[in-house]
Amino acid sequence: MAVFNVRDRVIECKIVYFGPGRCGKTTNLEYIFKAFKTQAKGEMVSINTKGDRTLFFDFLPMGFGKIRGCEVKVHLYTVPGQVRYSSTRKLVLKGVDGLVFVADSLEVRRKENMLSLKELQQNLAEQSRSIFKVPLVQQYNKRDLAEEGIPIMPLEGMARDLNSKLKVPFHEASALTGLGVGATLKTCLKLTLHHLQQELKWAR
Amino acid sequence: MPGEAVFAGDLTFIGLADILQMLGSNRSTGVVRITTKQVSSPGVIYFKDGNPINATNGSLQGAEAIYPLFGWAEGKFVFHRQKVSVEHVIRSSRMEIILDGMKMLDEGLLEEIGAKSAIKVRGRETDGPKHDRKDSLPILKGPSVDYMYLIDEEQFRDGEEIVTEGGHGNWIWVILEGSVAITRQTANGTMTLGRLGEGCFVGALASFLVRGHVRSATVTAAGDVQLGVLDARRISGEYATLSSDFRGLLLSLDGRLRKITDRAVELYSRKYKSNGLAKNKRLVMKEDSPKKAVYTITAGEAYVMRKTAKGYLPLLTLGEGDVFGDLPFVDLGHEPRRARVLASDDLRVDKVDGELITREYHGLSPTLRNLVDSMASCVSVTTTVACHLKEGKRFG
Repeated sequence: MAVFNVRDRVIECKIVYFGPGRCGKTTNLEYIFKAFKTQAKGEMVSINTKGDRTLFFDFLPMGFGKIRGCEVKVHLYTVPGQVRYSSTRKLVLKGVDGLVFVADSLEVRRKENMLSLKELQQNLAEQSRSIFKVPLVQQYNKRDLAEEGIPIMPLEGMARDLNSKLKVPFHEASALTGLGVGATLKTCLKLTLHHLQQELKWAR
Repeated sequence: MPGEAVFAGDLTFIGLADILQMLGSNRSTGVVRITTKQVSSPGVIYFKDGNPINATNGSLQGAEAIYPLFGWAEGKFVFHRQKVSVEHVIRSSRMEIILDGMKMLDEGLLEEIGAKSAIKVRGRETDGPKHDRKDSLPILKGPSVDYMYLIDEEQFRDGEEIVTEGGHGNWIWVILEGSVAITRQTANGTMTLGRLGEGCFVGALASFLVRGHVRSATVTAAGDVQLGVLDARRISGEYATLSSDFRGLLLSLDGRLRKITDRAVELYSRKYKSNGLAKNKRLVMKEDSPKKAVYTITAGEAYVMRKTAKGYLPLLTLGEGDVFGDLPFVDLGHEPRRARVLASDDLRVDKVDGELITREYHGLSPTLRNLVDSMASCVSVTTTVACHLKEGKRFG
């Protein structure tokens, strides 16, 4: 849940990139950190966890206005996909406000995507939260690999696998070139902030 | 002069990661003291404007002093608001320290103190005992590996310890390439219990079924080894769907491995005394008995004895909940073919449907079935080792 920092009049919220190992979560965040340098605050923290690195930095979204007179600061995280990093995953997912699920378009990774989404659902359930209620955006990454003749899943197929029940917004992307990365983040920010606004209205 | 205590509590309720984040977003300046019963000196972290700038913990200083504190699952903390005049030595950001600490905890690099949670800790000390490589034990091999059950691959260099005897841990690996030696420390030096190769499993089945499981032996890489980390959640998920009879059988097999290992170690270190165990006991199952029955013990004890060139060797004692009899799908080198079973006067048993259990075994996922087979092979090999020791022969 977002933290209302009274002293600075800032609402701090947390967006987490989740997905199977090597799906491009860290590539997404690295691209954001570089391309939106003016909005990224402070250093990027990078932890070498096996399989994927775990990244963290603060981000000030532009053009979304204020919520009840408060600036919004977003903590962006990736979470290590491997089962063994349970403490890390628990910490990162604790109180998450918005999620980006990054799926790997490679045909051979189809099963990993589905397992990872299921794991996300379980991880949220451990915090008594429902994947159907948390602001969530999906990203089908590595679309560019088709040009190299590597078999990838059609978009419709991926949506059928991962999104037929959730029905959340999704974007295709090639995180390496940055294609779709900004759009994914923007959609997630929009959903997350809207959700926060709803919560605050309800609390009033 | 200590300032006023403004924030205090219990680590089981709010952990170090949360404490750091809270002090951070409040940009607090002062000192946190963390105490736990198991460690004599407290951990102390100095904060300036919400960032940790220095810390002490035993003989450690700076960020190095903070990381072990993430392993303190039980204890108290108190924050004093006060001016701090210590040297500013920590350059990492707050979040970096937290994420690094969590990672180290997950990778089992931190000692867990007062652990009640299900956090996994693996012993992996490298300065363990040297193992004897001249032994003549054959290398056991298992069937091919189902990669769907692996969540990771790990490399270990020659001589590196994968599991340390007496350490806590609940990872199970399957050997993908190379071989490992299983050793125990005895009064008579290091004893090699067995060697495992491709397809065999490292780590007992009980290790993820029993919390706070203590590793019963040391496993060392013999040459470079590649291991696959088993998806414990998946295995325990499958385990949960098994019948209670079958689950009892698995735990009992695991117990047999532990007990026969203990017996072999006793023989190796010449501490074994027979204590006239076989006297005045009822014979309930003879070698090569035609009886095709499986029993669960509900009360009393049963003793599995195997004939050696120097008389009968009691292999192990079975108690309540243990299973014995004709299990056609595992060859333990025990009853009903190779050993006899004696019983205490008060032995009570329930009959188990052997056919049902056999069918259940064949319905297991390949990985769990391999795990059972690997366990049975280890029992069989260790039994052979124990019998040879009894006869005065030794390996290695």
